[in-house]
Amino acid sequence: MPDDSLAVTVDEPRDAVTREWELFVREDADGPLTHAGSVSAPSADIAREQAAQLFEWTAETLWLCPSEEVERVQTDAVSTVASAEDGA
Amino acid sequence: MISVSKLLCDLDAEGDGLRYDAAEESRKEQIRDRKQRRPVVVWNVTKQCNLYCEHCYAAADTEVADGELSTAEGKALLDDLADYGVPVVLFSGGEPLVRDDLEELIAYADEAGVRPVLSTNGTLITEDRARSLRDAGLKYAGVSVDGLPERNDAFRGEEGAFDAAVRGIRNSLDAGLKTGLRYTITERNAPDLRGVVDLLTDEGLDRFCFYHLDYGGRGTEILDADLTPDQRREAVETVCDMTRDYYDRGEEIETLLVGNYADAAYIVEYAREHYGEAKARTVYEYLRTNGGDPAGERVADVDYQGNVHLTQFWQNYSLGNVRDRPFGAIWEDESNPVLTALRDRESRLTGKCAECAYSDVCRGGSRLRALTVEGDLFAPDPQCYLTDSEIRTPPPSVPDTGTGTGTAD
Repeated sequence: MPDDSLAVTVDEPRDAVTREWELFVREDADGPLTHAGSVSAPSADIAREQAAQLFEWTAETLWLCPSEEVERVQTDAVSTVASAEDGA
Repeated sequence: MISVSKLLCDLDAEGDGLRYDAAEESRKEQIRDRKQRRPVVVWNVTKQCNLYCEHCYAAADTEVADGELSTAEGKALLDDLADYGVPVVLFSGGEPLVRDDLEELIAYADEAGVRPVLSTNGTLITEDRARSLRDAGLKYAGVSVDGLPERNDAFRGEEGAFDAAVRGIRNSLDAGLKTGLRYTITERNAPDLRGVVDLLTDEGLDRFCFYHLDYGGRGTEILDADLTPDQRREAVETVCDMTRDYYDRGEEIETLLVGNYADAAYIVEYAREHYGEAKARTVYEYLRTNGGDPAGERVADVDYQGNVHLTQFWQNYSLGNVRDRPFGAIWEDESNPVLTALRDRESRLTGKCAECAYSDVCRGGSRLRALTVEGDLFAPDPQCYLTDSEIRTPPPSVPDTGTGTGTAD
C-alpha cells in the first residue's frame, strides 16, 4: 500500500480534561479483538473498572490503551470532519 | 421525553411525530418517515460555559477546552448528520452561545435539512442575539432555569442568573422564537416547580420540560440531592395536576417529562385513576409507540471533540469519534456489544425490571444510573418509584404497534 494512501493523521485529543482509554474487547477465544470505543478515566485502574462494568457480561478479554499513545491515520475519504479545513 | 399535555389533554405539539409516531394525525408540522427512525443528536458544541452549575452533565468549565470541533469541522459533521437522516440537532454545551459561529452552524444545519434547536442557560440571549438566532433558522430555544431566584442562583453558581435567564427568555419570545423551559428536578428545587411555571407563564412561556437528574458529569456529585421515590412520585403528580389545571382554565401549556421512563407507567396509572380505562388504554398505546428509554437508539450525543456517546449524560464512555468515522458508521456499528445490548435490552434486564408489567413503555429506564449506582448495566434504574403492586398491574391491553423514535430538546 502506498504511503500516501493513509495521509490523514488525526491527532486532536479525545479528552482534554482527563485521560481517554481506547477499549478493545474479545467475546470468544476464537473471535477477533475488536475496538469498542473508549472510556474516560484519570488512571488505568479506574479505566479498567469502568470498562469491566460495561463489558463484563460479555467480554472474555479487555485491552485498554491510552488514547494519547494511539497513532490514528486514515485515508482522506474516511471522515469529512477530519479532512475539513477552516476557510475551505 | 414524555408529553404529559399530549397524553392527558390531547394538546398537539411539533415533536409528536418523533415521540409518538403521531405525524399523520397532527395539525402541526411534523418530522416524518425515514427521519423518524434516526436518532435526535445532541451536539455539545463547546465545553466552555459562563456559569458553573452544580448538576452539569457535561462538567462544563469557564475555559475553552482543547480539541473543540472548528467551524469547518462542525459543518462537515452537520453534513454527516444530514446524510444519515438525523431529524434534529440540539446545539448544547457548555453554553453554546459562547461560540460566535453558533448562528453560522445553525443556519448550515437548517439549510442541510436538520432541524436546529438550542439548549442554553439563557443568560447570553440579548435582543440582538435572539434576532440573529431567529434569522439563522433556529426552531426552538430551551432555557434552563432550576428554581425561583434564590435557589436557581445557588444551583447555577452566580447571583443574578435567574433574572438574566428571564431576560433571555423575554428577548427570545420577543424575537418570535419558540421558547421553552428546562428544569432539572431535585430535592432542593422541587418545591419551586409550580411557582416557576406560574411566573414564566406570565412572561409568555408555554412549554415546560422537566428533567430527572441523570448521573453523569457533575450530576454524580449531587446524588444526595436527588429525589426519594416518594418525592419523585409527588413531583410527577404535580406536573400532571398542573397540566390539567392550566388546561381546565383554558390556558394551554405544553409539559414534558424527561429522563425517567417509570413516568410512563405512572402516567398510565394516573390516566386510569382520573379518566378511566379507555383513556388509560390510549395513553398506554402512545407510550408503547414512544418505545421507552431511548439511550443508544433514538437519542445520541456528539461532544465538543467529536466523541459519540449513547446519550448526552453518558460522557465517560464513547462509541467512537467523528474525526475517525462518519457518525452514521459509528451509530450503525453493531460489533459493539454495549450498543447491541442496549438496543435489545429487554431480555437482559434483571431484578424488578425483569418482572415489570410496564417494561415495554419503560425499557428499564436509565442504564447510566443503573451502571453508576449498581455497577451493573442491566440492574433496575435506582430512580424507579413504581410500587410492587404497580409493576404487577396488567396494563390496558392494546394491539402490537411496534416501536417509535425519540426526541430531545
